[in-house]
Amino acid sequence: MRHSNLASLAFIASLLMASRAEAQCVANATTISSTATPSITLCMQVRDVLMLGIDANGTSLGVPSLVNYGALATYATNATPLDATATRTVSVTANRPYEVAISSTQPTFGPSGVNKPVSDVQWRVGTGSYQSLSTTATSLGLAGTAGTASAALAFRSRWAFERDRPGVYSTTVVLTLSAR
Amino acid sequence: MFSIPLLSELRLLRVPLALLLAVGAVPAGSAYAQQIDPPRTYTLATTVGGVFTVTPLVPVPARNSQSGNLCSPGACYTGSVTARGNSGWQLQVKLVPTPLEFTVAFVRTTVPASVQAVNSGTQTWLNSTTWLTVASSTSSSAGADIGVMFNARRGTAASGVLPTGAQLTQAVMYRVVSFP
Repeated sequence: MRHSNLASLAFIASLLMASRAEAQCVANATTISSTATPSITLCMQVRDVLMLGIDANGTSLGVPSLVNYGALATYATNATPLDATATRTVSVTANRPYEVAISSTQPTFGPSGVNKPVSDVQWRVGTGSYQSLSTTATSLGLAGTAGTASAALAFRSRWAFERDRPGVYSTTVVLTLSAR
Repeated sequence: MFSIPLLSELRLLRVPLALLLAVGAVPAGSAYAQQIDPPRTYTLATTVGGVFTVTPLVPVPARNSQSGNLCSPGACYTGSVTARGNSGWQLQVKLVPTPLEFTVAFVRTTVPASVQAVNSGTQTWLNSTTWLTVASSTSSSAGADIGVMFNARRGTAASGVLPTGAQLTQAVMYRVVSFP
C-alpha cells in the first residue's frame, strides 16, 4: 500500500513537472554516439523588458510676450508660437516592439477662472511637425522593434489676450510606454 | 509499472497532493511576466505677467477744423490708437519733454469728434512728469480702438508756434498699463 502511494505521487509529480517545462521552453534530447559531438541545449524564458526615461520632470513653457498673444478668434493661427525653454530627451530601452504615447491629464489649465485649452500646447519629436496636446493618448512617433532609442521632445504654446490673463499656468503631460 | 491510483487511494495523499498542486498552480515560471516602466508624468508650467501694448507706438494726430471752447484758442488734433492687454488696462499719455513752443491739453469730450463745436467736455493739461489716464478697461482686450483729441496752443515764448501734427506726435508719449 505504501509502495503504491509513493508510486502514485511520483506519477502525478512527473505529469505536473512535464507540463510546466513545456510551458516554458522545450529542450530536445540529443543522441550521443561515439562519432558525434555531444551538445546541451540551454533553455530559458526571457520576459519583456521596456524602460522609459526622460531627462527632466518638467519644463518651463517660457514667458509669453506680445508677439505670442493674439485675439481669441485668431490666435491659434496668427500668434507667434512660444517655444518652451528647453527640449527634453525621451529614451526607450526595450527587448520587444514598443511605442510611446503622450497625453495630458486635464483638458484645460491656467489660474483660477481661466480655462486655457491644453491643445494650445503643441509638441513634436525631433524635426517632425507639431501636434496639439490632448487628453487622448497620441502616439509620439517614437516606436521601434527593440533596442535603445531616444528622441528630442519639444513643446510650444500660443496665447489669447481675452482669456489668458496673468497668473500661473501648469499642466501635466503623461508619457506612456507600451508593448506592441 | 505505475498504476493510476484510485480515488480512495488519493485520499491518503491529501497533503503531498495539495503541495504538488500548489506548485503546479504557480504561473508557468515568468513566461508571461513583463517589466514595463509605468507612465512618466511631466510638468509644463509658466508664470504669465501682464502683456499690454498700444499701436501705433507713435500715432500722428491730425489737426482738424473743430471749434468750440475746448479747441479755441489754438487748435484741436484727433487721432486713434489701439490698446491691447491680457487683463484690465489703462491708456496713459504725457509729454516728453515739455515743448517750449506750445502747450498741450488732452480733450475729453462728451460729443462725437465729428461735431464741429466741441464745447462739452474737459481739458487736462499735460506735462512731462505725470502720466494722465485717458482711457481704461476693467477687462482684457485684444484690440480696443480709442479716439484721442488734443488741444495745442502757441507757447508764450517768442518761438511759440501752433504745432503741426508731426510736431505734436514728437511731444506726446503713450503707454498701456495694468488696471489697478
